[in-house]
Amino acid sequence: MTSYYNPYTNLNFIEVIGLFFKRLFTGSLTLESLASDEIQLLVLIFISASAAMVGTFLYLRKEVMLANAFSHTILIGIVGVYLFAGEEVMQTGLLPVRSMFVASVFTGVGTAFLVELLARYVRLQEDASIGLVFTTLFAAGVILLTLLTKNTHIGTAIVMGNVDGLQLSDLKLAFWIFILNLVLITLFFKEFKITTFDPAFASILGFSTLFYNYLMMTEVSITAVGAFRAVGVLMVIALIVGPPFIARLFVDRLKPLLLLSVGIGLLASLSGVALSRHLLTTLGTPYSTGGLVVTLIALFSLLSALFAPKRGLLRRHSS
Amino acid sequence: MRERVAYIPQRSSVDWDFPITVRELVLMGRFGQLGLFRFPKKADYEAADHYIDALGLSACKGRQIGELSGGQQQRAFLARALLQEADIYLMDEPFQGVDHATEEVLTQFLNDLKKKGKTLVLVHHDLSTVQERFDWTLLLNMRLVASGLTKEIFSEENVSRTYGKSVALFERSYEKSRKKEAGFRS
Amino acid sequence: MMHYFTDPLLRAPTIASMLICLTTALIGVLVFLRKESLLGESLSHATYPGVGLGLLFSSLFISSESSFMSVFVLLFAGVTSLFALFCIRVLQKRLRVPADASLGLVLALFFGIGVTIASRMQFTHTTLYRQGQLYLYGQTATMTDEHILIYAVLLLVVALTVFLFYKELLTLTMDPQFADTIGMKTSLLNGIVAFLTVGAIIIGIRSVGVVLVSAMLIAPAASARALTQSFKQMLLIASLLGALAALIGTILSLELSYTLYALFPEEKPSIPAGPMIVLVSGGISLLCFAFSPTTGLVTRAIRSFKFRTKRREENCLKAIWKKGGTVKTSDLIDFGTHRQIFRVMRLLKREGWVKPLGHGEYKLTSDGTKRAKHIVRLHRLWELYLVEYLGIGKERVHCSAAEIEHILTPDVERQLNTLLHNPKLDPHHQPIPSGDLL
Repeated sequence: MTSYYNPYTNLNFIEVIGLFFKRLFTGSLTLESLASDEIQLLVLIFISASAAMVGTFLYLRKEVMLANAFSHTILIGIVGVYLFAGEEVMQTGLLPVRSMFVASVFTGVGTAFLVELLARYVRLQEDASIGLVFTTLFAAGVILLTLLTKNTHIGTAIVMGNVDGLQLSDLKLAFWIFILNLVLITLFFKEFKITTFDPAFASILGFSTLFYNYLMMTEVSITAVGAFRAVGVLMVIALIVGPPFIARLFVDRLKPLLLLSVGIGLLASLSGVALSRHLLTTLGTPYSTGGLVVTLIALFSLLSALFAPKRGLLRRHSS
Repeated sequence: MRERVAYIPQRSSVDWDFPITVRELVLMGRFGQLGLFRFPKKADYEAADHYIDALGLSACKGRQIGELSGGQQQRAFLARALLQEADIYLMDEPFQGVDHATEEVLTQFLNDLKKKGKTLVLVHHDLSTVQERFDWTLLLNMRLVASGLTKEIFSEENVSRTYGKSVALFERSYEKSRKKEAGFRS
Repeated sequence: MMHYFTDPLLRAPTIASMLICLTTALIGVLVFLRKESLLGESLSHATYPGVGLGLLFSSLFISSESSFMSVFVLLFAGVTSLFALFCIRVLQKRLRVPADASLGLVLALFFGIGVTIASRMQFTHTTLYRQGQLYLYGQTATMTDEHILIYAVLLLVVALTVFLFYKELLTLTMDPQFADTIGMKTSLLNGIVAFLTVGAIIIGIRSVGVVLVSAMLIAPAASARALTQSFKQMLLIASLLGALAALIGTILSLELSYTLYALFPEEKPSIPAGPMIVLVSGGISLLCFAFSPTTGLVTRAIRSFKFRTKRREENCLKAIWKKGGTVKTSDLIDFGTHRQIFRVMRLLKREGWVKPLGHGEYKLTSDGTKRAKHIVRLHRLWELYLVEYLGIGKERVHCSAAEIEHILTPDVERQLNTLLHNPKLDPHHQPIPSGDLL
């Protein structure tokens, strides 16, 4: 891989996109011949698709900040993986896929449990319980990880991610997480739909709202774990809530909302990677690709908030 | 104008977990009069204690408000309003869900206020007690149905127009409450 | 430990941290009681772009070694945070986005923009970039005495504001409707609270960092709430706990860093202060929750234990009385294990209710007899009440009475007696001991 020439070098924005689609449709995108830009792009595509799907439901269920908490606590799970996975993980920094899955499920359930415990036994108000649990666990995670990796700046990496350092293993993880989310959401679409829009009715019908809640939170944890190396734990929230927010300004029904959110996530990922390469080519400065994706989502959000038909702020007063 | 009006809300709109004692709650009644950058003095604390005692809350003076019974909570809010020493009192369902002792205390205080010339405006839903308690009635159902002296406008016809129910229902409940007042214990 | 306050290299990090966390904890009480903990989370992350911009801007005027860079960073961080607050309000009110989504959106987007700015600075202004990264998790090791001055002044301003507006803040937080009706200018006051919140956040980010400062708003306040029922005390206790967490956290992070450095000198590892302070604060919270006089698990366990002991004591007294006043410990095996009975008898002896006769035999004293009779009285009064007033069959009242007899107060006893018209017999036609015993 080292003596390999990256075909995206020195391309600008349009050229990047053009080249990608050309390679996509001419079948040149085999696992062995993927350029690093393409790995980044594909990882981001799978992550943002997963995040947008899960995010649409979270947006509607008003559980975005709860998801923020979960994306922080997965750090403890990752610490666990480091502790149990041993030396090879330390050396390569690559985390085995299966362990990540297990870790994320455990921390997902564990966090929900702890929050519940505080709310019930200490009778602490809900917003403070969530805030207290996840920040303390996250702090513990940062300290443990710093001790384990002996890297002072690991905390920064956790929070910012490093899209440029993505490898094939990350792509595999992101892909399987996407498949998992797709399967779960397709399989349980009706159940998620009912428990989102009318939980009281759902429980009368016999659906356990608690189960689907835990399931959704587990999906959040898994998605966050997949995203953590790419964009870090904080920016994954942008991928989760940004696209649904934008989509909601344009459409009203659940299925179009899901599709549009995923579309927006994909668009932001593609533009982000292309823009990153473009800026590197034209200005010579490497910007954080993850940061750029989020900045683009911010831009789309702003434009949509202002100009969306019917709901946009600047469109409202015109008849 | 604001300082002349005291408002007692429905109990449900308050945060009962808030770390505040009954005494501090009642003292709040003075805050409007004190204004910015002034602190309550001994006289203010004494006035608060006076109303607390008058309403029978001396025993729970130092307790956190969430620990009180419904009736005690209502009385605490009344004490706070009284401390404002306003001319007009607005109350939102003060008799709802209180025990008999509190009801008596409340009625007594309202009568006292009336004697002092204060104006009292209450939101009230207990039809059986309207005629004995209130001089003036306003019947509202999104629009004004009737207003005037209670003995003139509080008729079965007006009431059923307000509530949109059949007259018979009202008649029956009225009969029952009359019987109860006549000493008929079930 | 005193050297942390005197050593010229250590005293600034220690004292400044304490001042900082005291400030955040103080305002944190307001944030906590307004149930705006998640808003604090969002606003704190929104300061990150301001940190980068502030550093860039200040580099135009002052050298990067000056402590007054912090002031620029604070200002810009404050501006972006206030702008974030504005965006959140617009989202919630004009676009009708649900609260959690608007908080999450602003949090992530502002932070992402901050990351983009930082990534650019990484290559164009490397020194500034490194300073900016310190604000992620807080770093106090490079603080100087000037910082102590800056943060002391800021604390003074904040504390003075809270002091001057104490009654307005109390009323506004507890009952905003009432505040409005008595003429308080609630929109102005809400604005003041917003400024105080953002102020506390930008003060906190130097010590605890952008990512975790919201914990220092909530944790000390939550701990204080568990310990007191008074707003005034809550402000005081939270501030103290905040400063305490800062002290312990700073010391631990520095000590741990030195140890790590000694062990692995090549990697130059160090533990950032912020996470350590938050961890300590979380630990303090846990202790406060456990020992809370009202809801604490430890307190409740102790209370429960005390009640079970009292119940065992009273049951034993009753049993001794029923057996005619004298008993062997072996007769009491129904009431607990051998060790428990031994303990109970010792307690009863200490109270003067039994006298040991030797060889495991005990006799009731006259005080003990009176007490035993009193419990029996309560038991039988309750049984009578259940039968006469609640219509419960007399075969079923014994179990309930066996529990209730230990909790009836003299007040309730008096009322029962009046209600039942001074009864002499219980539903099983057994005599009720008279009420003038104790």
